[in-house]
Amino acid sequence: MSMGRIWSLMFLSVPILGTGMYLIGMLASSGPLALWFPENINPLAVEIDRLHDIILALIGVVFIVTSVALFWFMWKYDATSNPEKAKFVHGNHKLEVWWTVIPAVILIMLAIYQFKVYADVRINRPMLAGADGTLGTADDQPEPPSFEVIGRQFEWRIRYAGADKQLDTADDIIGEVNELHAPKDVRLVGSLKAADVLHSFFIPALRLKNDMIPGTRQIVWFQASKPGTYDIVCTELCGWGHYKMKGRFVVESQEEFATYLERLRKAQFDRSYDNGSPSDQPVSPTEQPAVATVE
Amino acid sequence: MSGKALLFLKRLTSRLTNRLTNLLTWGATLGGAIALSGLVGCEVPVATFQPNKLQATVLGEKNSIDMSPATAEVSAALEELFGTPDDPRWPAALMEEEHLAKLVDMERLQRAAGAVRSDEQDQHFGLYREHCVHCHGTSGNGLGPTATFLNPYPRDFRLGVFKFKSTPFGRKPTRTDLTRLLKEGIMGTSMPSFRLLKDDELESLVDYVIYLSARGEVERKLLASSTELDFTDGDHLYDPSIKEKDPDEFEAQMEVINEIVIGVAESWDKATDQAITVAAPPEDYPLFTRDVGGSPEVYGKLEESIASGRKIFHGNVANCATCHGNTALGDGQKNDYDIWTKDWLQALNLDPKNREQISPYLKLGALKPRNIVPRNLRSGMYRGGSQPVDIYMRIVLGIDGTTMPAAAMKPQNPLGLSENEVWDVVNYVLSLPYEHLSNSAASVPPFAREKP
Repeated sequence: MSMGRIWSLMFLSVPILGTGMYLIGMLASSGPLALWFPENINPLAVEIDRLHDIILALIGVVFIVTSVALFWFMWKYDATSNPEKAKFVHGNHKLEVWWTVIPAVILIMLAIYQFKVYADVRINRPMLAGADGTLGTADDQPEPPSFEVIGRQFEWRIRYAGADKQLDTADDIIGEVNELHAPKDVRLVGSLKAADVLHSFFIPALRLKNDMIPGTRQIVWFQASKPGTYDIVCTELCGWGHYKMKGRFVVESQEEFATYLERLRKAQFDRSYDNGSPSDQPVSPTEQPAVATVE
Repeated sequence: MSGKALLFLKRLTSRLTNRLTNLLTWGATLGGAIALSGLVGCEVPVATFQPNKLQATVLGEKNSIDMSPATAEVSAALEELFGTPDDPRWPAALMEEEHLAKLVDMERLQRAAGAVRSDEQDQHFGLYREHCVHCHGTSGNGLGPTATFLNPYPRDFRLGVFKFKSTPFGRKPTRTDLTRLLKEGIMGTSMPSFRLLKDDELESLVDYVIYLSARGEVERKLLASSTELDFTDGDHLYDPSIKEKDPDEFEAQMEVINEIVIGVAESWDKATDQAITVAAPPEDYPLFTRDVGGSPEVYGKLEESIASGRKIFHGNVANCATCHGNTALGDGQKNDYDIWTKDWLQALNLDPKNREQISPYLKLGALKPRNIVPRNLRSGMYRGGSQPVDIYMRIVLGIDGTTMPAAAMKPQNPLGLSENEVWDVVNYVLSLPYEHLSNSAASVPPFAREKP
């Protein structure tokens, strides 16, 4: 076989390997090769996955078609098996119009589709009925955030709204660092801030990713449909410790969440409720726990 | 001799010297490269504890003596006592005493020490170098590579002084205090939370911090005690070469050293018993965080308590306003330094503004002096924790290493504060972030008024 044909086979191996890895990653249910997204537990973000799948399918088809075409041309017109000289063709209006119009139509369709998805997850804030008591009227108010995450080198500080359902008031509940809790099946609005530099708050299982920008407040919303513990990671290089800026996102039943908030509320003035308190921790034999209790 | 022969000789010598210089240049280059590769090596350099050059120099200048023999002997003694960063040891004298041997667990110490590595079960080793070393430094001197960029500077463990703890002023923290700091981090500083580490990993790190702190404190005390020795006159602090020849003399040397080691270890051991128990305020006493949304009656009581706290804050007994400022913005006085800075700055009466004067000490490992500023109590950030009990302990115990003193308390000091008065101050302090600077009666924070 001529060297040109060996090269064309090598070029073919790229799309084959690439597509194969994608398929294995997508179809393998477990093990080191299962490289697909974590399960989406946010019903408000289903469209994000759908949009991704559509784009991936389109790209996949284009990728396979162009790769095979590339291979086919290299194989067929290999110099050693084709003594005929190459002919140069200049321009083909009909062809050019088609290969411009078809991608343009696809791109416009994608743009229109993603407008709605983007607006749903970023612009159309959840609203609450205003004074007239009905939703969808002019006096609707945006739903105030019920929790706040402050990104800080290199941790997540969390705060929940207290009984008045407003943040930044005296009855706010200080959450545990690096651990965000959420009740199952409740739409939550949260506020994101940064204390020092740019961070990006990312909960892959919720398809929720938003930059945190010092000096501004970002509003996000989600709904978690499956109890469990998920990852929070930082996706904006924020300094040397970026890689260790991790957190836990815990989804629990509404009762458990209420109990958790109550524990946090009490932990603010009573150390015996505090998870970090000596009584809950394995203590070395040398030590008596320091007792420091209010109430 | 003819001119021709002379010319020939000249040419020959010049050719020879040329060759020789070429050879030398090449040889030097090659040799240099080999030497360089030997110096740099392909492997990671062995980690060593940095000697406390700053304190040695300060002591030397203060007493006008040459500290180099003392420094060398202290380093040798420390290696014998505490081992190396890769192979830590707990001094033999402490292993003999049960309660002092238990201060650190050798297995956990090994886990925290050494190079970063992990096994197949994803059990991590070398935890100190994985998580702490870049700020706190290999020797726990607070001089890791990131240290100079941070404000406040990372803690130097070698003075054995820790700020946020439950023991009286001047005492060591308990293990619980250290674990709590690791878990919660320190808000308002660069110390992040390590809550997601496993409990045994945190315990190992606590052990290693105690180890580094004890080692550093022993080093300081050995250096200080060596100023009394005259090395030029044949005195020695630690001279293992006489171990065989003159065991009695060596024994005497070790006795002095061990006394210092045991003293430091005892101070850590005692901390646990010294931790205070905060008695609860009376049942019906209002607490800011808890009762802020309570019934009008409770809320009225809380307001009274806050008003009383404000009075004490500005009063003569507690005297908080002198440092924290009349508006509690932390602007009462801003000219003081913490003891980690005073340790060298004041020992030699240096002028922190005089760059030339302090620059030799900066090269020895001192950090550029920064004033220790009293906390702005209106920011809502409390480094030692935001529970009322945390604020209570800061008031009653003071903050070690800083100018925040322990409050005078009533039974011991008839002019001091009663416990209820401290709780009043706690309520006032916790209410400050929600108090208007111009109108202290309103309790709506300015930012709560913006549209949600």
